[in-house]
Amino acid sequence: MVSVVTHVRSIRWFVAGLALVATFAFQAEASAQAQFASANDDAREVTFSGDVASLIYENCTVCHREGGIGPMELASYEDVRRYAQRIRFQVGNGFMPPYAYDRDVGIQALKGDWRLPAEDIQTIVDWVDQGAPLGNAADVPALPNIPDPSEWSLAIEFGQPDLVVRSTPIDVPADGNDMWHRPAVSTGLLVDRCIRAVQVKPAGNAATVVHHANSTFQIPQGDGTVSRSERVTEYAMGKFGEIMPDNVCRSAPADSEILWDIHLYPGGLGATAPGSVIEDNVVELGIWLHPEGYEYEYKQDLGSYGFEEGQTEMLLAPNSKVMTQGFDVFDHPVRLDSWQPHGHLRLRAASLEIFYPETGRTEPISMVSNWSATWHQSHIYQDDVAPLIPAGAVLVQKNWFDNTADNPNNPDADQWVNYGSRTADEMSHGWIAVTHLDEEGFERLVAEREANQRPISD
Amino acid sequence: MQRRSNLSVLAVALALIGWSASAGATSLLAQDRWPGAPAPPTGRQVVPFFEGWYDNGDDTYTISFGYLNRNLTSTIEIPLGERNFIEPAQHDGAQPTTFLPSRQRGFFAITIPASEKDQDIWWSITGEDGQVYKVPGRTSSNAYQLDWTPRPHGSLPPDTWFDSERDASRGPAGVWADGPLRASVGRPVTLAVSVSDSSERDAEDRRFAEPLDVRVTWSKYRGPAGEATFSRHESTSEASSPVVRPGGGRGAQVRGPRPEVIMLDGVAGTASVYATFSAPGEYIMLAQADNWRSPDSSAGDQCCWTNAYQRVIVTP
Repeated sequence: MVSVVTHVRSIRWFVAGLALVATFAFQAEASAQAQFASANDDAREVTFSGDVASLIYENCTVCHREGGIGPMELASYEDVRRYAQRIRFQVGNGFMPPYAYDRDVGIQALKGDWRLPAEDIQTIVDWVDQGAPLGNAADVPALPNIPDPSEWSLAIEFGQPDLVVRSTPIDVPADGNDMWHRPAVSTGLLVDRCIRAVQVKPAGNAATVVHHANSTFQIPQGDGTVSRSERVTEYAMGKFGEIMPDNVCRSAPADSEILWDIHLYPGGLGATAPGSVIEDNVVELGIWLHPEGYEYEYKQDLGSYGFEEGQTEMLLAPNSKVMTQGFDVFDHPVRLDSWQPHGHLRLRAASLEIFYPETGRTEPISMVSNWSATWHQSHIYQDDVAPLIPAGAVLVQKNWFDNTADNPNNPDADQWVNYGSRTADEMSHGWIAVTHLDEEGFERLVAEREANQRPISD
Repeated sequence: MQRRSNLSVLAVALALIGWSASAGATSLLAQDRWPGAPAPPTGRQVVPFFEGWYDNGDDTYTISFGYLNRNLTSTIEIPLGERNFIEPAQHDGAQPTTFLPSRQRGFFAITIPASEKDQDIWWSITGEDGQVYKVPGRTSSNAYQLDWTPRPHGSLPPDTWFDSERDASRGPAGVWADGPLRASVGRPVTLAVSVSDSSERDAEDRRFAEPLDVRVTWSKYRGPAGEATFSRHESTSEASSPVVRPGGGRGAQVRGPRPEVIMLDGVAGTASVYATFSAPGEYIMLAQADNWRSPDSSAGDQCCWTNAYQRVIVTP
């Protein structure tokens, strides 16, 4: 039903405010197998100036530059040649750019997709295998105008946000336990609005200690209590933001405030800077709003829905691998606009499927086989392939955990692990952006898909 | 907002399927059941947990342990000995023998000198199925480091003491009453512990305009197989029923008031309860004083609570 998709290379979004490279181990280099073939006699000649520089500059340099979050600079031929073999390994195995999403399962047309097309990966592999030649030095392109990574990455598309809400500052010791900072900050909104896009951005050094930052609208009542509204968004390390589809409204209520839920985790900084304190950590929420009076058909929201229920039962034995499942079902048709698995250090893979009780069919939607807590990507489906899900169909999220020493992120394979808030504990759920349809709208969207020959429903 | 189907409640059961394991005796959750098989309500294992470690700043380290009793409604008794022991033997005996349902975090802690910092402390529990479940307490991983720093909204483990032992303590290592209480079978005895909360919170935050209640929960920690039952002490009002906070861990299964759970209004008070024992022997009763009404504190957060242990000798 969903499977007829084509790869659409989307606008290359710049990475900004990405987090915490140093605090987690990188991918399992020792065990990985190169996915792309070495150059052979038939390979065309590939040069830095003619083929590789533009790929590196457009996809890597935003992080790998002076002051960037990448561990080395990739801003010149000399830089790139020095790390050529490492680049070949990381790119050839799909570890970089850091957007883990399987190419052979489910929907492939994603917004903000950082994956390189296969031909670009092969170009880089061939270049390294051919000795990383420069080519004509005069043809090396200039570095593009890369935006400041501390700026809003969605500003490229939408300009500066209409509303910025900052959390109150908090100091985090480099040694010790995770912390949870939950301040409430007014939005200043005077009328109800609809959100067009949203991004959460740890400011400055906060990127090194913010594990996640959830934000929820709440409305203070006169008696000192609050009425809880809905989730604004969820941020976890590496996530760049959300964009709402046309014709939907994710609400931003008037007279509201943001209740932050910020999980702070020094993540091993204590090993390199014992006794130090990372001061004045602030997280910023940027909201781009639709104009007042924006007309829409359906409400959209973000939630973990049923995926969270039951996760407290999870139990990982020492030195074991475990799979869990979570389920959800709606009593009305919905469109799934995005999906983001969530776990901690032992989660290595996740998938999303739809089970249709009436037919017994199960349909793959998305798969991430090499998940890492360092990069919590929200996989946003292109508008014309976002899954249309009839009432009663069951969303199934599977999660695979590796509590063995083979997992390079595992802090201790001898421990029993179950559900918990800390980074050393685990979670087993996912975040989905859901447009709540009615039957008429569902049928219309299905008909439009069929007319465009990108069917979603049998 | 349109609502989600009630069917989802039925559909969200989490399936747990171990597909490989290689840790010898500790590896499988239940060898006599198929992976993913429905869990029975009783007869399930108790799993020891290492919660984390503290650098006390005085050349000592504290190792915190808890457990998961996967029987969600029944308490399990496992006496000290070959089915419930700690190695090295010098630390054996710190652990409980009464295992309350579900996950119980930081029920006891062991403090070691710096000279033993690199030595693992293993807690082993053997289930009725003969499986050994064990876990090492160790100081090697930053991911498991805990600390004594006030939480972002100021929460600290409550200062807790017995009148017999005026020195207050904080945290899982806790405080022990100076001497045992004496009681006889079937006759109630008063258990009492004093608590003071030193947390400094922002008074301009409306959530902290009034001092938050501190909760004290009494339970049987160790003793013979007989039961300890609780009844309300006259110093505690009926209104002091437990408040179950989502994610608060202990008491999450509770429905309705329990006399052994006491909410102390304000920043200080004494939590008293009557305990009646069904069998003679030596018991240890645990009072856990927590600050989990604050948004920066919960069991899952590994802060902020203090354990207090009271020995009771019960004669026939």
